[in-house]
Amino acid sequence: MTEEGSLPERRLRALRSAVVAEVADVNRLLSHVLRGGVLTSAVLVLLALAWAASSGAALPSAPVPLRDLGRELADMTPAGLLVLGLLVLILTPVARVALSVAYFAREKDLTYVLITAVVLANLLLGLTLGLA
Amino acid sequence: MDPGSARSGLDRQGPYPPPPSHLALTAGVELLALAGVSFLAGVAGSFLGIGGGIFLVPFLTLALHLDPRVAVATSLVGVIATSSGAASVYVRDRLTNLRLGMFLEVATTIGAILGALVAIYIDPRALFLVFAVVVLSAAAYMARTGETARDRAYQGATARAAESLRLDSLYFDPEDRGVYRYRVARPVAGFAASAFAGGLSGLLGVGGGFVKVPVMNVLMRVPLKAAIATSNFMIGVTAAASAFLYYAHGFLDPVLAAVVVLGVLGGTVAGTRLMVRTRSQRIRLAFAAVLVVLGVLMGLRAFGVAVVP
Repeated sequence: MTEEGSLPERRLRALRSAVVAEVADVNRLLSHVLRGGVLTSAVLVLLALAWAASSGAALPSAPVPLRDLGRELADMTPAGLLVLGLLVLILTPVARVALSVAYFAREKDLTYVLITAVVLANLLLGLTLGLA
Repeated sequence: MDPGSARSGLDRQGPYPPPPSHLALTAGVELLALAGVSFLAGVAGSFLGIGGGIFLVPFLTLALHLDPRVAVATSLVGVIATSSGAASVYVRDRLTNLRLGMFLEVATTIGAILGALVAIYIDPRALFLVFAVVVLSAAAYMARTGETARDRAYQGATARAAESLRLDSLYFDPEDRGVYRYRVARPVAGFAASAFAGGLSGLLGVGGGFVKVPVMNVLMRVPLKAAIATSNFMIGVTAAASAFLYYAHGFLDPVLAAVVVLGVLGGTVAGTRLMVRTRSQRIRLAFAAVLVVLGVLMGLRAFGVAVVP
């Protein structure tokens, strides 16, 4: 476990921050996106489960279809909240790729704009083929 | 009445079957067990860079008697939770080689699409055999060889592609408190092998992490911990696309998925801490052991013996 302030731990933190400082800052952006997505999803899911348990409301055994999700959320149902939490989780990696494209575009790193854009395009192509 | 078999008995042909499930007391034990298994899957998945579907799917189908499609949909959500939960830690600590991950994602996503397109023309038994051979030889190699500090700081000749893509990176290893700067070898071969891995996982429904980690570690000379972190980062992307399709087709059970997500996220908190502190050699042996189990299962399937439906 981490002891605050003991010498080896301090050295460990110093070494780690030296590595952290040297690698480009897309790391910080992406770790925030990933953590934000995961935490948002976990909080929504927990709230929905607690809400359903306390109100005795039924939870669905199949997903709320996308077109009904808006209505479920407007009606403030635990099922809508639960499915929203799961969708946030599922879409987090996709958002991560989309934000990488934007990051590299801002940095004018054309090679990686292309690479991340191809990944995004492949994802969307896969979804289109799968839904067809 | 076993609620698991009741669920699997549902007709899921229709777009969105309506029967609601209650958080009934009878289902409590199953859900608790599922949360426990999800926690372990989260630990193992983030520790080995493999997602954890290999632990979730057998439990969902064999113990809870779920329809395999519902099991896969639930497990995919668990894989995304493992990937994003673990990656947020590994990316923050700069253990992940982001450029390498993004470069190889091009290959795995193309492979996944091609795999899905050619699936109907290919005999899956031949594929299972190929997969078993690949995985077992990777296991043998990983068990036989160690990783010295010199291996971690690989400084062989720089490949042209690796240079122009700036794949070379560095990471901090708390195991021996070393900062290791490494070069990435054979980027083109690694790209091809990753496309193959993406195709296989699309065809066989086995997570690509089992092939990605050995491809990066053995073929491309990426230190094991960096390879595991990078694999963890990558698997979420392909799993997200598949999970969304299962969602759209109505196979995702929200209550099961919610339990899996919470269990797995707890598991990744423990698994990522464990991974950075464990000696690479031990992780290597654990990885090889899981590969052997997987290789044997896949080999059996090649001869028509399916242990897990």
